[in-house]
Amino acid sequence: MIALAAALALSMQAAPGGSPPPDIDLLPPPAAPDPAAVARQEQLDRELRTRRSMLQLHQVGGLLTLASLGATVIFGQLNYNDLYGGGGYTRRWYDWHRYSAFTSAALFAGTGALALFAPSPLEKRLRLDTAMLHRIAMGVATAGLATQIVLGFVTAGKGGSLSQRDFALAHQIVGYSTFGATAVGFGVLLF
Amino acid sequence: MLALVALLLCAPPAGQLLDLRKGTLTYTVVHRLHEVRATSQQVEGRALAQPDGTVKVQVRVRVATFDSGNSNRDEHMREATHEQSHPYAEVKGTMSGVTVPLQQPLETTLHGTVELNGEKQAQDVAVKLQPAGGGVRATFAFPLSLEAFKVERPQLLFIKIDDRAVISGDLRFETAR
Repeated sequence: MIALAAALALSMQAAPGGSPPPDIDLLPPPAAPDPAAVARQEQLDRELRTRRSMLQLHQVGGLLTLASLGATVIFGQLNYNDLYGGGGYTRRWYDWHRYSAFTSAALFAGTGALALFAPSPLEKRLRLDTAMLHRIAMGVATAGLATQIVLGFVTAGKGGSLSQRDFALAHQIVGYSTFGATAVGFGVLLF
Repeated sequence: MLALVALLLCAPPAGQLLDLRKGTLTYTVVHRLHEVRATSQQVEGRALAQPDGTVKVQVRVRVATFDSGNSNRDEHMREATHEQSHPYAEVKGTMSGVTVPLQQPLETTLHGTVELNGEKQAQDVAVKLQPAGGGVRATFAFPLSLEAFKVERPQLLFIKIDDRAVISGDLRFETAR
């Protein structure tokens, strides 16, 4: 018995210069997941895969939205110059601006929906970080785009009226602001 | 006699036990557009300094506690490392030639194992030890391959982050109370 006790005591000491033990557990082991957590795991994995796919598409949509909004702003400026800047009132950019605006509005809505409806199964606290700045910028852009749709139709409906130029100017300013907010929303994610 | 055997089995290990009092662990990953550093201050650790100069160390951190400054990115990293199944990243190993209390700064190597995403890889980590108050301050940095740990590299705008990640730490151990 004494020999056994001595052997046990020796076995608990690391052999000087010997190889490290196969495993070192100095901290208490983490609590094992309860059965409910294990059962939730599969559902969570599915939701995370869905979220990832949706957010990948959101990135594609974001790039396309930014490009189409850029095109809309350019066609809008050309249209403004043509109609109110001494361009001859040819209306040759009108349809380009109109259809690029519809396209960008549809892309914007679809891209936003992908982010809004993506499952978010992991708990995370809300705080001011680049993800939040992205949301704020895109919220401003959403408000701007909604304003633009209304302003666009109102401006088009003021044909022949003296106030049309003022509405067009407001439409132009909000248009640049909307594009700027979208660009900021895109840009903050690159940092 | 049985009582003696039981007592020996339950006896605390020989040597001085040190607890991690405070510290940070940081991972740095590189994307073509930017570099990302994420830090956790919720690090757990313990070291056992043995009379022969061998020190056993175990340090772990919950993957969910890393903060990169973008909650979506942190969530993506949790997803990529299967944090729900493997909530901890861990380093454990042994150093030799370390006498506690430390009298002067010392550079040594931890022969250890890194566990991430449920995968384990052997890793030698160069560690700088400095006396700090009544304890020891340990700083280190080492690179690892994300794919070696079967981490599906996150991507932004269809560009994956580099395979190489650098783990660095600044930990302060003090005698366990």
